[in-house]
Amino acid sequence: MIGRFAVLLLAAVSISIPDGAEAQRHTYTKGQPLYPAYEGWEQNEDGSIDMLFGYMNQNWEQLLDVPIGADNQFSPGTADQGQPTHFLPRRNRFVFKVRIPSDFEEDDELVWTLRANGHEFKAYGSLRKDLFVDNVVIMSETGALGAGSSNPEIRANVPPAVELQGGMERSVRAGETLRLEAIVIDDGQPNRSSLVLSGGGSSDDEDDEEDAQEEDEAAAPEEEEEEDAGPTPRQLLASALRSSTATVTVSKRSGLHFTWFIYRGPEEGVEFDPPQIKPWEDTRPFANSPWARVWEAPELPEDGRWVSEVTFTQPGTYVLRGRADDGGLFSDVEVTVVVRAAVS
Amino acid sequence: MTIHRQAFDGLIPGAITAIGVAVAATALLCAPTGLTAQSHTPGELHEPHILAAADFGIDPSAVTFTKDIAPILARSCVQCHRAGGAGPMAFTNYQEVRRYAPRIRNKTAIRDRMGAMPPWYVEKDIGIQHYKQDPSLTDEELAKIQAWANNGAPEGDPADLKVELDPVSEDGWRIEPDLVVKSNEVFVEGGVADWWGEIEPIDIPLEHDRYVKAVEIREVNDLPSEGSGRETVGARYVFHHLIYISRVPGAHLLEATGWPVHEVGRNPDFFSEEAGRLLKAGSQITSESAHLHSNGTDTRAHLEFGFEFFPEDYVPKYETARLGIGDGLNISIAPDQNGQELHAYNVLEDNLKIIAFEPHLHAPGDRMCLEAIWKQHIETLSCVGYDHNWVRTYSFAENYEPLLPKGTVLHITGYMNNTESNSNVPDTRNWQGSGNRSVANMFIDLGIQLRLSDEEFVAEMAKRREVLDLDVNDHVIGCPLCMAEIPLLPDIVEEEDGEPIVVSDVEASAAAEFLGTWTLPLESPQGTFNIGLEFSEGDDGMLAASVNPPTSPPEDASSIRRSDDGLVLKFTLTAFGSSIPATITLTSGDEANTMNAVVDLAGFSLSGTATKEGG
Repeated sequence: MIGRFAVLLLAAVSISIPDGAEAQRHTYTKGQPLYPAYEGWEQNEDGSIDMLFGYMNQNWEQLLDVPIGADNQFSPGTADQGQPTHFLPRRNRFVFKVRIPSDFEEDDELVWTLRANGHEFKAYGSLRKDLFVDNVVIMSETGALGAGSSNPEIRANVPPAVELQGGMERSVRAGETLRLEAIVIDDGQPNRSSLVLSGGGSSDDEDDEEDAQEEDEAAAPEEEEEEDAGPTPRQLLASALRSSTATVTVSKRSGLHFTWFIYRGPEEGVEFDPPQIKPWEDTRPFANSPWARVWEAPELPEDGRWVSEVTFTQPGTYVLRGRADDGGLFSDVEVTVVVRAAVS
Repeated sequence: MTIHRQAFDGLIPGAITAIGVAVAATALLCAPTGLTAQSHTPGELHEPHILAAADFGIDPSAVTFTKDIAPILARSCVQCHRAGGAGPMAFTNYQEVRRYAPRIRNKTAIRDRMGAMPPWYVEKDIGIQHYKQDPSLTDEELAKIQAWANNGAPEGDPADLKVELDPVSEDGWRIEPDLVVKSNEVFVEGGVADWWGEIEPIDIPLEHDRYVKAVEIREVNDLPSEGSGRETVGARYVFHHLIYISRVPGAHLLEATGWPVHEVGRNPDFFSEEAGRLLKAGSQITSESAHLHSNGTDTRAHLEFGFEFFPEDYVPKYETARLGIGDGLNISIAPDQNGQELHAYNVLEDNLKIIAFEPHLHAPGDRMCLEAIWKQHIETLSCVGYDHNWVRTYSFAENYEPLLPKGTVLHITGYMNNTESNSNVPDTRNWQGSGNRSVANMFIDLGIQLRLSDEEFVAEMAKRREVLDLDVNDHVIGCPLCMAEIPLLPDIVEEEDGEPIVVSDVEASAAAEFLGTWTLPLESPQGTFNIGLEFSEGDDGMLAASVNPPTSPPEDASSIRRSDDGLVLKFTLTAFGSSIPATITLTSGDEANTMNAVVDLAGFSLSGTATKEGG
C-alpha cells in the first residue's frame, strides 16, 4: 500500500516540476558578437562636429582584444581614430569621439568596422538629425534621468573636471607598482542616489513608494544618514529582488567616482589596487557597477585626490583610461604605460 | 478558402502610394494559399490579409460604397478621417473616399502590423479577442473592401446609405470627457536634440474629488495633417512621452495619483469599473518627464487632457497593482535582422486582474506577446503588432480581463524588426541598444493591473463563471482556475516567525461531530491506501486538525474552513524533498460516523469515505 502511495506522490512531485520550457534568452559568458555602436553626433561651441561611438560586447565575461587593423578600423581616412583595442564586457556607451573634417557633408559616412569571435559588424556614423546629441541626451542614455525625468538643476550639470598627476606617459618594470593619482572636482550634480535601483519608474506611475523613498533619501542630511545606518546592502538587495518594479529603461546610480580601466592592451597580468569600479553596464546585483541593481558609490576623498596602484606582469605598451563619472556626465584622462621586462 | 491572386489588379489609376505598391508586390509574390498562411512567424515579412468575398457568400460585383463600405468607415475610420481630424484625408462622402479606395484596401489588408489602418494591431488568431473600443475589421469586412476596390469602387444606390459619415458634432475625443485641461504651449525647434524635462503645472478646477473612469490625452500642434515630412518615427508629434502625476500642492508624493504614460499617437485609457483613479480637488498635473522629440520642423504644441468621471458617489473596490514587466537595460538589437526577440518575466506575488495590455517598444518594435505561465500551463493572452507612430493600449472588455493566481509568471516577448522593411528605423545597418531616445529602445508592458486578495480572486472567478455561463468543462483564455471552486492557490500557508499560521473559522463546539480520529481509505489507480485524520479542540477553542499520511509524519492543517455542507482542510504534504499542496474536502456521509472525502494532491483528485474510530 505504501509503495502505491509513494508512486502516486512521486507522480505528483514530477508534474510539479516545470517541464523545461526552453529559456530563449541566455547570458552567454563568451563567444558572442562584438557590435560597434554609433551613438550620435554633437556640435562643439566652435562649430566643429564630433561623432560619438561605443560598443556592445554581447558577452558577460569575455574581454576582447582587437588590434588596430583590418579587424578594427575606420574608413574612409585613418584606420586609427582613437578607438579602443581592449573591449570590456557588455554595453559601453559614448566611449570615444571622432572629430569629422569640416568638409564632411550630410550624405557622408564614417564607418567603424570590428571583427571578433568570427563576426564582423560595422557602425555607420552619419549626421542624421535624429542622432543629434547633447549633454542631456548623454545623461538620459546612460541612465541618470531614469525613464526621462529632469529639472533645471540636473540639466545644468557639467562633467567633472579631472587632472592627471604625474604625466600622461609612464614607464615601469613588470612586477613593479605604479601609482596613479587624479584630482577630481565636480559640481555635485546629480545628487548622490540610494543604493538600489528603483527601476527607472514603475509600470505606469511616477509616484510609487520606492521613488518617494528615494526622493526622501536624496534630500536627507548626511549626518542623519550616518546616525541611522539603515538597511545593509544585502537587506536592500532582498527588498529589491522582492520588488515587482520593472527596469523600464537604462538606470544608473549616481555618485561621483573615479575608475581606471584598460583601453588598449591586454587585461591579463594587470592588477589594480583597489579593485576598480566597472565602467560598463554590469546590471547584475552587487556587480560593482553603477548600473547594477545594488551599488554603493565610494566615499569621496576629502582632497578630491583619487589614488590607485597598478601592477603589470607582462611587458608591453598599455593605454589606461581614467574616468571621473558623476553619474550623469564623465570626463576621461589617459595614461600610456610602457612596461619593461622585470630585472632578473 | 481561396485567395484572389489578382487581388491588386485593376487598380484605380493614379491612386497607388509607394506603400501600396510594396504591399501589392508582396501580395503577388507571397500570395498565401489559405487563411492559415497569414503568417505571424517571427522573422518573416508580414503578409497582407487577402480575402475572397465569395468565401463569405458575397457577390464581389455587388459590393458598393453606400451599402457595404460606408458602415465600415462610420464605425472605424471617420473619427479621425474628417475635416480637422487626425487623419490626413477625409472620408466623409463618396467623392472623398473613392480616390483612396486602393489605399484603403492596402492599409486595411495589413491589419495588425505597422502601417495598418485602423491603427489597432491585435492578432485575431491568438489570445483574448474582446477589447474595449476595438475598431478592427472582420474578415468579411476586409473581403468587402478588397472586392469593392478591385471592382472600381462603385458608389451604389444612394438610398442604401444608412449611416452618418460626416460627424460634424464630433469633437475628436474618443471618451466623453467631463473635464478638459490644457498644458502650456511648448515650442520645439526643428533641429534640436531629444529633451526630457518638466511641464508647467496644470490646475485641476474641481471643487470635489472625483474618480476617473477614462483619460485621454491628445497633442494639438501646428504641423500639417500629413506631418513634418520626416521619414522616421513621430513625424506628426513632438511629445513622445509624458509621465505625469496629479497632486495637491504641498502634499506628500505618496498622496499623489499616478496616471498612465502618454505616448506618441496614443488612444484612451479605460480604468476598471472597480478601480477608478482619484483626481483630487485643487490638485495639479505635474511632470518632470516630458520627452520632446524634434521632428525636423519648428513646431508649437500643447497637450489636452480629457477626464471622464465615475458618478460622484463612486467608491473604488480594488487597488491598482504596481507591477512592471520589462527589461530596459539589456536590449541588444543586431543590424539588418528581422524577428529578433526580447524577453522579460515577472512572478506574481498577488492574484492579478489585468485591465489593459500596453506594449511599449521603440522604432524597431514590430510585435509583442503577453503570456501567462501557471505551473506547466502556458497560455498566450494577447499578441499585437506595434507601430511606434501609433502606440496603443489594449483594454480588455469587461469579463474578459485575465484573472491570474499568485505564482503565475507573466512573460512578454518583444519582436524587433531592424531591417529596411521597417521605415521607422533611421539606419537599419546599425546595432541598437536601450535608451530613452526615440532612436534607442525600450521594452515594457505599460498595462494596468489590479491586485486581488484570495477572497476577491475567488469572487471574481465566481462572477466570471456566472456571467459567461461557464460549465465545468469550459476553459476561458486568461483564467486558468476559473472553474476551480476551490482555487489551487500555490501559497496557501501563511507564516509568522517561520511557523505556519493555522487558520480556522470553525469553533470546535460547533463541530463536535468531527472531533476524534478518522481513517480515510482512498481509491487510486494503484490501489487503496489509508490517510489518518485527527480532529481536536485547539487552545483557542477552534477546531484543529492533523493529517497522517502513510509515508510521512503527521502534518497540521494550515486552514480549516466551513464549506456549504462540510469542511475544507488545507495542508502541505512533504515527500521526496518536495512540498505538495493538498486539500481535503469533507462532507457528511451516508451513514453515521462517516464522511465523504475528496482529496486533491497537486492536481490528482482522489475520493473515499472516512470512518470514525470507535464510532
